[in-house]
Amino acid sequence: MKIKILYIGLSIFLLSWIIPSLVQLTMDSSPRYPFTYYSSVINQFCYLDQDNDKVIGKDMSGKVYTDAEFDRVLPMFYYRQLAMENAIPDSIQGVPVDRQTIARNSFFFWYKPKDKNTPVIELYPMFESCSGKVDLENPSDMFRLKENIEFIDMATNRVDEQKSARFQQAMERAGFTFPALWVTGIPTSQKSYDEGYFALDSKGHLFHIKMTNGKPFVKDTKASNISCMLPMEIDNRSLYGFLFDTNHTLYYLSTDGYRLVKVLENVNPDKDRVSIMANMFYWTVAKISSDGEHTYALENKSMRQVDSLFRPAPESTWDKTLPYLFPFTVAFQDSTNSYIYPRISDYYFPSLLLNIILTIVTFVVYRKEKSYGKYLAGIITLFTGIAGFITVCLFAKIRK
Amino acid sequence: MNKALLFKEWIKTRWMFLLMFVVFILAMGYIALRISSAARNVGMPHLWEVFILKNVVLLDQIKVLPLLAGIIMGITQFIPEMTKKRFKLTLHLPLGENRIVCLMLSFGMVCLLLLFTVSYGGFLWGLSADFPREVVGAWFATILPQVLCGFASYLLTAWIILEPVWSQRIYNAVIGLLILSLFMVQGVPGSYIYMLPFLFGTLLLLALYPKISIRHFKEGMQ
Repeated sequence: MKIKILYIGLSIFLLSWIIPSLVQLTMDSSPRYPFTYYSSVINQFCYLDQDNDKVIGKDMSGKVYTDAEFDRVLPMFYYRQLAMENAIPDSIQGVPVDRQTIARNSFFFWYKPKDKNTPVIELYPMFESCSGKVDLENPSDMFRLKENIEFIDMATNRVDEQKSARFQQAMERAGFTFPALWVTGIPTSQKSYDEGYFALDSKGHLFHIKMTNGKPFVKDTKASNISCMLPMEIDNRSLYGFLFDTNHTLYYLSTDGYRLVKVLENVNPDKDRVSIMANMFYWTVAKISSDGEHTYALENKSMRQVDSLFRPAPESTWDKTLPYLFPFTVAFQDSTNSYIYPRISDYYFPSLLLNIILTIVTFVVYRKEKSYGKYLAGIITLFTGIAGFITVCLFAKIRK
Repeated sequence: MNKALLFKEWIKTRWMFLLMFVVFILAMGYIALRISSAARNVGMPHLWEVFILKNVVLLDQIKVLPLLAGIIMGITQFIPEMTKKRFKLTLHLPLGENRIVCLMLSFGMVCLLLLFTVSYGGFLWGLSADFPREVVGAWFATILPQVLCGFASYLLTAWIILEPVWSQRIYNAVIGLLILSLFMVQGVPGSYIYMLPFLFGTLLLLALYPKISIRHFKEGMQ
């Protein structure tokens, strides 16, 4: 009987995973928010409203724009279209603009928790940052940085002792305390320039490490309490990347003396998604969390908040139905990290109504059973719902 | 008596076991050949980049092999027992019922362990000559759930075959499919790290389940 109980337990566990997953597939479950961008022409948020099959450009006062008008209201976003029509304005907010200036000062940054919570193979190519050539060249070695730094030649799979020692000494001279907690960079030669890597030492200090003219360059950025960093390469080279500190604040690391500039507070890098659409006047920063989408317009130079917008998360059919159908669900993957492991949801008490009906059906199925088995089956169905009902009435009938 | 029982299992499975060994060695040889051919054509540094930065694990191409090996081992070992109810005779041997089942399942598990250790272990050992420990570790982390899936498929096959009630066999097969799919979720190398205790726990449970089927068998349930 003990083994049977273990079988029943595993069956309920598995069915609480597969049945809700299949039901979820039949319903819409992920909220969608309209594309929103802060206009530097009319100084307010504009968005694309999905009206049946038509997508209409609107601003916050409800004014509707045609496609051509919408391009002109958001010249910082649609500048390529305007350039094709030769319609880029000479100046915006008194500042002369042209296609090159807009392109050089615009960038996009998308962050999702999976960017941080994904296992990686901790070997990285160290590019020559000052090669003097247009394209970056792939190096012949890769490095590991943990207890020490080691460069491994890819052709022979052997450690390059001399190069490793040069970097090790340079890092120790700069005050880096081994072991490194993490390393981050852009490990591809398909980028316009190289700024090497950023590594957090065992004391929590962030260091900048790169190779210039074959020599190690190591600098303490003086930034600390950093939980993760997402390096960026942008045309105007004004920043090294975005960082989250341990207090859930998002910063960017300026190339102007490694200055940390605060972008947004209360962003949980393990749960929230962030998008930044930046131009030479404003950054449109959106934080998508479980309660909805928070959008902010920040002035480019000062990062001062000039406008904000909140759209509550629409309740999907799945969200509405789930608590009435299943007392709990099991999942093995989610959108916040790449690790596979069982995740058991909270207990949904509204499902008890359906569970009571299923319990009555269970007693009908077990009506000829004289032993305590029918009571056990009833209790299992009452608390575990559909998964328990299928298990005790079909997969593993409880007999004396 | 233990030796005699194990010898009986060996007689039943030896040719299929050797055939699986050959298939695994050929599969590993094929993957090794692909790596060596790619190294000659595009160079070792490019292969490093593909394996490290693109998370490519070539052994993923043969990820169903351990699963199939487990099923074949289970069928080879237990179908002859169930034909003409020979299993009744086995259960009448002067050994405890638990001991008999434990010996039979242990024999199959050890055969699979030998098969997987020699083939995958040999392959990873060879790989470590040309690739750093991080790559070998990532490949090991990728194949470990697949190998555990082989053990799970063996135990599930034994459980399903030993079950005398046809309808229960079908229910067991449904549960078995769900369990096997847990071992085969697509992910990046290392994504199973927190799942491993759960997978080992599931294997322990699966080793107990044939007892339910044997109880049904002894009760003469159809």
